[in-house]
Amino acid sequence: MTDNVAGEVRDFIEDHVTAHALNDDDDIFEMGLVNSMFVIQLVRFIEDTFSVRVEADDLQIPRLCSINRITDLVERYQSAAPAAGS
Amino acid sequence: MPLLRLRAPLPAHLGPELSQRIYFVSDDIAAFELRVDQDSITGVQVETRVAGQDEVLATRLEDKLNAIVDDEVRDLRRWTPQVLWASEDWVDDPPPNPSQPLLDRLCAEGRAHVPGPGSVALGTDLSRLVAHLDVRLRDMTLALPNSVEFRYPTLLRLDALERTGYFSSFPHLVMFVSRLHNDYDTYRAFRERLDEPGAAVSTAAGGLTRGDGYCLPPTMCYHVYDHLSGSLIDDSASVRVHTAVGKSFRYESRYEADLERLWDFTIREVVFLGPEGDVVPALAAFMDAARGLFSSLGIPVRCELANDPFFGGVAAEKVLGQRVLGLKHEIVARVSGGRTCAIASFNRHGEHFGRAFDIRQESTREPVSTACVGFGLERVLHAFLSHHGAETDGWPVEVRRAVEA
Repeated sequence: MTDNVAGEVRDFIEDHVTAHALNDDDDIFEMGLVNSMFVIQLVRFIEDTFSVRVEADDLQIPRLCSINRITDLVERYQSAAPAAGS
Repeated sequence: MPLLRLRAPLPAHLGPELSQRIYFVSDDIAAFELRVDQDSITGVQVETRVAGQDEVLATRLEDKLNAIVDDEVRDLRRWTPQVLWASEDWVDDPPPNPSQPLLDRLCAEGRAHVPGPGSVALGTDLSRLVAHLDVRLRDMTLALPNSVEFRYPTLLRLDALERTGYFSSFPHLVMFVSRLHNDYDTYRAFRERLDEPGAAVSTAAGGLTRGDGYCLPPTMCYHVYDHLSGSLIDDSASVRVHTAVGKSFRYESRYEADLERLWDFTIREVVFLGPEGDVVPALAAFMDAARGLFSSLGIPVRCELANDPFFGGVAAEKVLGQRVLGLKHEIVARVSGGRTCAIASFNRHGEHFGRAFDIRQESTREPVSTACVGFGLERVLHAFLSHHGAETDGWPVEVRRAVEA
């Protein structure tokens, strides 16, 4: 587990979308910055980096649309089942 | 009845996903039954076309089964149905309806005929009914600004289908077109083989045929992208709309579900082209219009989030991208037996086809975004007859008038 989920999420998004000065609440879907390949990479990133399995009910834009929303999602999973060694 | 064991159990909720792939494991499988132990699928009991015990075949089938499970099924998520809207007369849990399958009844009455698996011939009144339903859909489409209709040939060039990416996503559904090599020796060899006692055309042609650069179209919209390949789309006023109706073909391995799943069927297709910011609302407005049309036809429908039946190891990820972004929706109707059946699909593609076919916006020279809507006409017919009954007396007056005119 990382101490800075939001930082890791920000790094990932900034590596994959071409936007300047992204705020933590910016809706990257509404801004038209992402496509289905990005969604696949984002979910793979979340699951691999934070050792969680995102349930289908959480795989919807409102829960994945900003740095803050993704961070909330990851922290919810981590608090429900802390990863070993964290 | 060999039992093909799964090397690792599969969650029982993936049973339907596994079941729809079993006949694609091998043509040697004639029938099957999932072996479920508590909440897990542990194997598949199969009946093969080979007489007697054949351990080599069973081992081969088991290897293929495990490969398809690991490649396509195991990573699929447990998606819950998402309904966007339903018509007011939609019934969630209809009472059981153990009626005779509709197609059987229509055939018994001489109004339809089944020439072979997955194909159907319609008699006078049903042909007129399908034509009327299509006219309603076509007129709704051609009422849109900047719309045009084209009548495309059945044959689609293989290189056009290749540009769409279809071969990587749906190779199992493709129908190729082939013919005998144009060589006198080939024709003569074919004739000689056919003259042998007990000869069959399918085996006589073995090794003598070649592809001719064509396939049968799995859907009509690919003709549109190919048609517009390399062109500029005027995006100054409104979204460009192309519509076409035509025969479409998908190999589905088994065809046992009445009029719902055909090998050879008819699609009324509508394609939207333009900037993404215009295409998306145009598609949404068209869905509203389709909802209104089905309401006027008296067919209860609802709209659901959907995904395509992708092939191979990337299936789970492609489904994920499609569902999260809401790229595919289906209008479903209740059909005979109480089942639901998708009668129209609404698909957003972003710039995928604009890039693949080099179709650009005139103002910016950027690739166009596209969206398409496909109405399965035999399925619309099935939904109509399932709801109103097969007798014309029960049909809406304006439909009856059009069919009887």
